[in-house]
Amino acid sequence: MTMKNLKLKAARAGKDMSQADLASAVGVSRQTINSIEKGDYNPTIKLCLSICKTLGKTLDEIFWEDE
Amino acid sequence: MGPVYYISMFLVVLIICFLCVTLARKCHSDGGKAKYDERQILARGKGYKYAFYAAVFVSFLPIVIPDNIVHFLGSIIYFVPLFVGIMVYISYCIWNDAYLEINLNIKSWIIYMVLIGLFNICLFLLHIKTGYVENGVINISVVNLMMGILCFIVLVELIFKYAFDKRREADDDEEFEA
Repeated sequence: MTMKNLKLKAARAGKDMSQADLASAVGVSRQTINSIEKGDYNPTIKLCLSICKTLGKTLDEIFWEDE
Repeated sequence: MGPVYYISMFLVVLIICFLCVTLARKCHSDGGKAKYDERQILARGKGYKYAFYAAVFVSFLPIVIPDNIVHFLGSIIYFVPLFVGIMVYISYCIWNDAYLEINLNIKSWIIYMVLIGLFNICLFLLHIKTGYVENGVINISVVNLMMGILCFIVLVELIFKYAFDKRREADDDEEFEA
């Protein structure tokens, strides 16, 4: 079962960024950000770090799954 | 058609390939390296795998289809697995958002596909006078028709995907604004 990454969506909205804005900032396609948010794609640690740095969050805050 | 014809045709194809590669390299500031992100590279790899399986499967079809059809198809039969493989690969990549590079303009790509498709259809139609069947064997010019059809299938898929993406992007934006 895929789990939606609502934390990423919330952090992105908090920064007032659209999927296209975030994708452009981290150097990936908009569809890749969409897939991560929908839980269809597990990004590499490199991309996770890049997203976290862009959004000013830690890995735990965005990618750690709560029980 | 003597050897001079084949050598000149080979040289023409070689020059066209060289021009295409040079043009492609000029379009990229980093020396022709395509820009795909990690998810796209992964999807393209899977696409290659499925295309390979499809091509291998289709290449075994002459065993089961009747001999008269195999004879009628002639050398075209060797192109069929190639075209099926390419079709599977492109379709998989298009529907997994891995066909076009990051930030590549889909509209310019659609124009390329229309031009290549029309060029191949025109080449096919040039043989209309001589006919497409010689001694009960289909002419090699049918490869141009296959290529034209392939381009138009890719074109239709790209347009559908573009429209689908636009709608999804609009939904995401609405959700974002809300």
